Amino acid sequence: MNIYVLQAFLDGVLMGGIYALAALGLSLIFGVLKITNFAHGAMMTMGMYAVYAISVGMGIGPYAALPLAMAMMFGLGFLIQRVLINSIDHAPAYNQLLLTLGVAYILENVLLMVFTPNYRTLTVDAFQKAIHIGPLTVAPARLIMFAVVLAVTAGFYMLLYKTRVGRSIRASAQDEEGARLMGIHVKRIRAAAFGLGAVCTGIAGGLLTPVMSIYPTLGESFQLKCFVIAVLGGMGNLWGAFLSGIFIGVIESLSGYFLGGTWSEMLIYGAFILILLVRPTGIFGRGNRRES
Amino acid sequence: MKMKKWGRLVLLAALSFILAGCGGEDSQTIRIGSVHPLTGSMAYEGQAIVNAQQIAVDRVNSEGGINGKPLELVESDSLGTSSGAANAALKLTNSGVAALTGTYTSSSAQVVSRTAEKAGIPLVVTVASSDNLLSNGYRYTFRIQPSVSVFSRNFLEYFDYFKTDGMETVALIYENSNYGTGIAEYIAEHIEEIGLEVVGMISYPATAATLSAEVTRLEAMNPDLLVPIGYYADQTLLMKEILERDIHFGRIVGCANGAFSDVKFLETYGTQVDGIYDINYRYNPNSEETQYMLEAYREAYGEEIPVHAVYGYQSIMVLADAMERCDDPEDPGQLRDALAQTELHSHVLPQGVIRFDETGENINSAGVLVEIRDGRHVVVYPEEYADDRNE
Amino acid sequence: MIVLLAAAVIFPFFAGRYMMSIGVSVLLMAALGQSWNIMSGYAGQFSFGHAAFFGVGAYTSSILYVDYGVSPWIGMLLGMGAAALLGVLIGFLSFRYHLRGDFFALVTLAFAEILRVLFNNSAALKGAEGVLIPYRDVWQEFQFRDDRIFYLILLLMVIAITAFIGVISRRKFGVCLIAIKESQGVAQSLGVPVLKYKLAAMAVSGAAAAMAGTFYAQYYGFIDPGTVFTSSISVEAIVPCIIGGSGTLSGPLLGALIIVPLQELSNSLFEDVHGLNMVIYGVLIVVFIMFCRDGIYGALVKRQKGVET
Repeated sequence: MNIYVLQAFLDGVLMGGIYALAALGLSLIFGVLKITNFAHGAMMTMGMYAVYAISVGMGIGPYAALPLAMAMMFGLGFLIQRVLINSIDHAPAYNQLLLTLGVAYILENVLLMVFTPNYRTLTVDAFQKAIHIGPLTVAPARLIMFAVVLAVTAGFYMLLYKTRVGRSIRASAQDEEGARLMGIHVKRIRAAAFGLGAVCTGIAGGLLTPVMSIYPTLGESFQLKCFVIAVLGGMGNLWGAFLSGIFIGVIESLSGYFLGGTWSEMLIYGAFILILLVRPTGIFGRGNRRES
Repeated sequence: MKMKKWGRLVLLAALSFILAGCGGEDSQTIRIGSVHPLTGSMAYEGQAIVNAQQIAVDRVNSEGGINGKPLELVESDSLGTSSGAANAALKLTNSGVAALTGTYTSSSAQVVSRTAEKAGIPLVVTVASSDNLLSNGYRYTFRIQPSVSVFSRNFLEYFDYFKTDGMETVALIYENSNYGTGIAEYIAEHIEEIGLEVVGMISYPATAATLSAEVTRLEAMNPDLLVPIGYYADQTLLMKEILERDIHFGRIVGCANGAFSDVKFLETYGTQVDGIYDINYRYNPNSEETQYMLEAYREAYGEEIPVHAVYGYQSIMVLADAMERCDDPEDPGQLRDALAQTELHSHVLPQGVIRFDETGENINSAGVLVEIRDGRHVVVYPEEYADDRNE
Repeated sequence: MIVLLAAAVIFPFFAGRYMMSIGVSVLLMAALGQSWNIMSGYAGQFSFGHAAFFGVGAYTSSILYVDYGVSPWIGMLLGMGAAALLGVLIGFLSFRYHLRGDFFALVTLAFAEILRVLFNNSAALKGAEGVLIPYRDVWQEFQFRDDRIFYLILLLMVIAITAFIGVISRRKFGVCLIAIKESQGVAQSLGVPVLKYKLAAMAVSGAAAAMAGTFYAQYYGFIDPGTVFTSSISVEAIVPCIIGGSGTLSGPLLGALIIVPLQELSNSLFEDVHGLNMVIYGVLIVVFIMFCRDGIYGALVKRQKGVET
């Protein structure tokens, strides 16, 4: 294979990790709460600014800022769910969707007011210069990014499958009424799930902070891509979301290489429609599907 | 019964609204409206222009205003949308502004110029590069910034000052809106006339999260000349990926590049980006007024003025100059005619006299060629606009 | 109702340019909202991509006008036809594969996005440069110097769409749509041709949005893919319905009448703190949804019922 294509493939996998993590959060929120979250992009931006602010404010590196940012994101997600979304629990789908859109406007513009619209950049010089792996080159920042993605995802699975909270979350996802009967405090669990979703997407954003110039509406551009990935993996299917995140990263990179970014955008949306139509449960087996 | 309630609701909405619309008619000042995106994805660019305009207004006022009457800048958020810009423009018109300025994006500029024409109020375009902006024969619209085709022509004219020996191939990478596509297509079409071969044209959406694949593709093409065209965020991303991977192109020359001429870009990358050229907006460093503007902006906002915002400053000065020549500067018809006869020699732009043709285009508008040397911007051409740091 | 209508008709003769511009914004949102209402409020097919129909309408009439000299009046009808076809196409594909709810919404969103990218990158469709409508004053060409005429035309459009919904909602068509929304299975078992009715709703809804699209192009004089195919247009179609009450005849009108002036008010009041205007807009949406589940209309009806019983 052409070495450049291989390079594009590698870059796609690394970037795909970020998509995977962000989409994981979206998929979890959908799986448990049956909500299509249009504030997801804005939550990702919150994660970016959280890392930025902690890093600059406390004078520590962006990676050291991650744990605190995670805690903040959890609190934010928990509150959004507990205070806002829970109160319109069984409203029609479009009410919930519009509500999350309203939340997105609020988050984005609060960021604009606090941080001004200026572009912000965090540079970690030590991690920027590429290292060579055979004929391929890659910046350490991106390797760290991917490693953190893997670690967080693994931790996430542990939490969901090995702890009581995780079991409660999964139980409420499958059968809310049943979970309630089993004595699970469903409202709190749902808020916790939203919080965890916010943590995932927040870390995805935070990891991008050393790689991109950030501004208050940056997250919007990830919004639709997260939907594509979550649907591709089967909404609510976390394993599927992860795999399809990597998959979309690779597709984007390869089509970007051969055709340029304009057409990779087109290709991804086209694939999205196709998958929605032909296999809305995702290509990785069963996923939750919401009926009307 | 039901109707009555509705009626009340509607009345309430209408009333609160009329009250809001009426506020602030103040004849103590001459008001100038400013329509720019202050929220949304272009808020940074819009805000910088408004900031620079405020500097200009303060300067005019510190020198006694217009015939003793101070200027007042009234800003309104265009929200970055066409309907938002139209509403903002009409709100300002309604509140009694003598002229409008705006709008940063071409689509908003199109809408505001039509609005200004209908309302019979002069519009001075700060930044909006679309070639067809003035093609509708509007009498009230004037533009000072260089259009897409001016920038592209400059690129070809300045070629001798950035070419390298044996430069044969060129690749363009550009964001896919009107501005990026417009410039890239013009250059690609004409650059073969100077003997270069276009080996690649790659377009991407300005919201791209990564450009690594495109960079790899460029690496494979290995052009002697790389021409990147785009906004701040995407172009810094592009450069980051080029720097990370340590890829070297014969020469990188931006055209109206949103990042290369920005001081923040230098703060981020320092001397790593030495040797990059850009054809872009600039100021005339030898004008005294420029020194004032740079200083005042630094003092007021704690940073260097972004180069596109220079045109915001100049828009106010052009209006002030025209107002000085009116009997009644608040009469829109008089102001329009005065603007049309503008003959401004002393200004901050890197160009000759500011004068408008019959469509309202600034005839002498031009960009300059800047090189990044030792982590600083150095004007290479035209020489009369070179900074004293050149030595 | 008549009083309200009369007020709307005489409004431009008293209001200044700015007020009228707000009036146009209200009506535009009402038109989009009513169009969304047919497909989503009545028939229950949740669209998040009305920008697709709006854009197709705007582009069809504008390109035919600028390049081929076809009057935008005719272009508007053709655009409505094209959008109706698009609606049927999206509907046919989605319903064939039994898409519903959020997934249907995502398909419509993806269609709008694909059209945006496609128009942005096809030179034949004027690409990113967009279409500039000549500045004239010829009624045959849907061009007026006087904004009052534009306003009245749009008012007429909104009345037409509303009247259309009013009529069909009392006939078999409307009743069947509501039945489909309530329970597709039951409707089917009662012998309602579900697919046919849903497709018809999508076609009508698409055509109505396209009509608004042509108006937008002619009124503002310029369109590009980023302005007519953007998701904020799709949002503008949803907001008035949900705020006002979706699936009701007057809900979208009420919603537009309240949300546009409120937004404009917050723009004016908080001009100095950039971003606060949009925060307030977001808060308004959240508050309305939390405290008016069935929209303002629903709340009014409920209160009225409470008074009567």
